[in-house]
Amino acid sequence: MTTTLEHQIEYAVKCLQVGKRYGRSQALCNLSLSLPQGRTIGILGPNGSGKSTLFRLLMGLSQPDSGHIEILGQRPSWQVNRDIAYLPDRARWYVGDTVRDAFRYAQRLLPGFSQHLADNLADVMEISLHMKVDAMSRGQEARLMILLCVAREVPLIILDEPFSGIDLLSRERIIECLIHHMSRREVTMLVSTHELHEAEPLLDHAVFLNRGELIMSGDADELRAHHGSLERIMKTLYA
Amino acid sequence: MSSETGFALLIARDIRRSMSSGKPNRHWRLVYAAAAVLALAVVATYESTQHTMVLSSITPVWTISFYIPIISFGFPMALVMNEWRQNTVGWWLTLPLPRFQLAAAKCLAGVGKAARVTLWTFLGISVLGIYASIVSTHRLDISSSLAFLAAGLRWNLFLLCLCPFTSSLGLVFGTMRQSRWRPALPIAWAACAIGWSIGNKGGKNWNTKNLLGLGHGMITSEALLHVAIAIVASWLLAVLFIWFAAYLLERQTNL
Repeated sequence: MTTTLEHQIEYAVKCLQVGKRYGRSQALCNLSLSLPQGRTIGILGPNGSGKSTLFRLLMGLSQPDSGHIEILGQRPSWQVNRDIAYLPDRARWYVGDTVRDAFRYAQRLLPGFSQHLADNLADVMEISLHMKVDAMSRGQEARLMILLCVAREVPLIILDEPFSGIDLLSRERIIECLIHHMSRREVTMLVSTHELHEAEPLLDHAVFLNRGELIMSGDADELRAHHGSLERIMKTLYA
Repeated sequence: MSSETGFALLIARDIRRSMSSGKPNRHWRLVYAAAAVLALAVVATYESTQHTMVLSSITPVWTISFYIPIISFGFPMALVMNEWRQNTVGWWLTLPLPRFQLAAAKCLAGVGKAARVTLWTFLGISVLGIYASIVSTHRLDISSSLAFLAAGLRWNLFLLCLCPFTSSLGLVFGTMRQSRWRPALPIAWAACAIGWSIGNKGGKNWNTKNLLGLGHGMITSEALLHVAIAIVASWLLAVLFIWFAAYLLERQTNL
C-alpha cells in the first residue's frame, strides 16, 4: 500500500512496454517511461515520433496493443479524465459557439474549471467573451482552447502541439501566460511541441521520442548543462 | 459538475447545432422558408378552389410526415461524423462521461431534432389544411378541424415514438463509419434492408393508418396493443444499439 501511494505521488504518468500500431505503421514501440509530478514536461520529437499517440493513449482515446499505462495512479478511463485538462492535436472549437458558450460548456462538463480564472485569462489573452468562434483567427481560437485547459484546477494538463499554426506574437503571449500561470500552481503539464525555441523556458523536464521509442529523457537543467540547450539536443538527435 | 447536467447540456447543444457548415446563412434560410410557405399557400389555394376540400377527406395528408423517422436516422449519424470532420472529436471523447452517455446524448439529440421537425410539420399541415378547407367551403367547421388536428397529433406522436429506434440505428452507422468496423458497413446496410422488408410485411397486417384514425377502418384495442408492444420493443432495441455504438467508440476507434 505504501509503495503504491509513493508511486502515485512520484509519477504523473508511467508507461511500461507500451506498443501501438496503426496498420503497418508502428506508432509506439515498447515504450517505457516515467514522468514526474509537479513538473512541466516537454514531449519532443519530429513528426511521427509518437507524441500524439502517447497522449491519446493516456486520455483513453485509443487502446494500446500491448503494455501497461498508468496516469495519476490509475489506468486511463473517463473517470480519470476528470483530473486531466487535455488539448487535442489539431483541435478546433465548436463552430457557432461564442467564448461565453465555451465557458458555459467548460463549467458544466469539465471539472475544476474556474470561471474567475477563465475571465482573467481571457482578459490577458485579449479574447472578448462575445466573440464567435467562426469569426476568430486561428491564433485567437488556439488561445481560447489553451485557456479552457489552463483555467481548470486539475493535477495534470496535457497540451498536444498547442502552438502549431499560430503566429509568433500569439505564441509568445500564450507562452508568457503559461509560464506565469504554472509558476503559481502545483500541477504537472505535458507539452508536445515543434516550437522548442520559444517553448524551452517553459520546460523543466524533457522526453525525446523517435519512431515510437524513447531516446533520451531527464531534467531540463541537467540536459542543458551537458548539451547547451534542448533545442541543440533536438538538432543533434534528429539531424 | 453532475453528470446529469452535463448530459443534458450535450443533448441541448447538439439539438441546436446545424448539420453542415456549408448551410446557407440565416438570411438565405429565411428567404427559402418564405418561398416554400408562399408556394404551399398558392398550391393550397388553387386546389381548394378546384375541388371541395372537407377536412375529413384530406386526413390522410398527415402521412406526408412519414419522412420524420427516416431523417431522424440521419441526424445522429451526421452529428457523430461532424465531430471528426470539424476536429472536435478529441474534446468530445475525452469528456469525463461514460461513452454510453456520450452516444446516448447524440441519439437523443437526433430525436430532439426530429421532434422539432415534427412540430413544424404538424403546424404547417394544420394551418394549410384548415386554410384550404375554409377557402373551399367558405366556413370553419370547428368539430372537423379538431378531429383533423387530433388525427394529425396521433399520427405524428406515433412517428416520433419510432424515432429513438431509427436515431439509434443512425448512431450505429455513424460510429461504425469512424471505427475499425467500417468494412462491415455494407453488411449492416444489407441487414437493414432485410429488416425493413420484414418490418413492412408485418406492418401490413396492422393497417397502421386505420389504426391511428387516418383511414376509414376500425380501431381495435388488440391492434393498438400490438403497436404499443412494437414501440416498446423498438426502444429496447435502441438501447442495445446505443450500447453497441458506445462499445465502438470505446474500443474500436483508431484515433
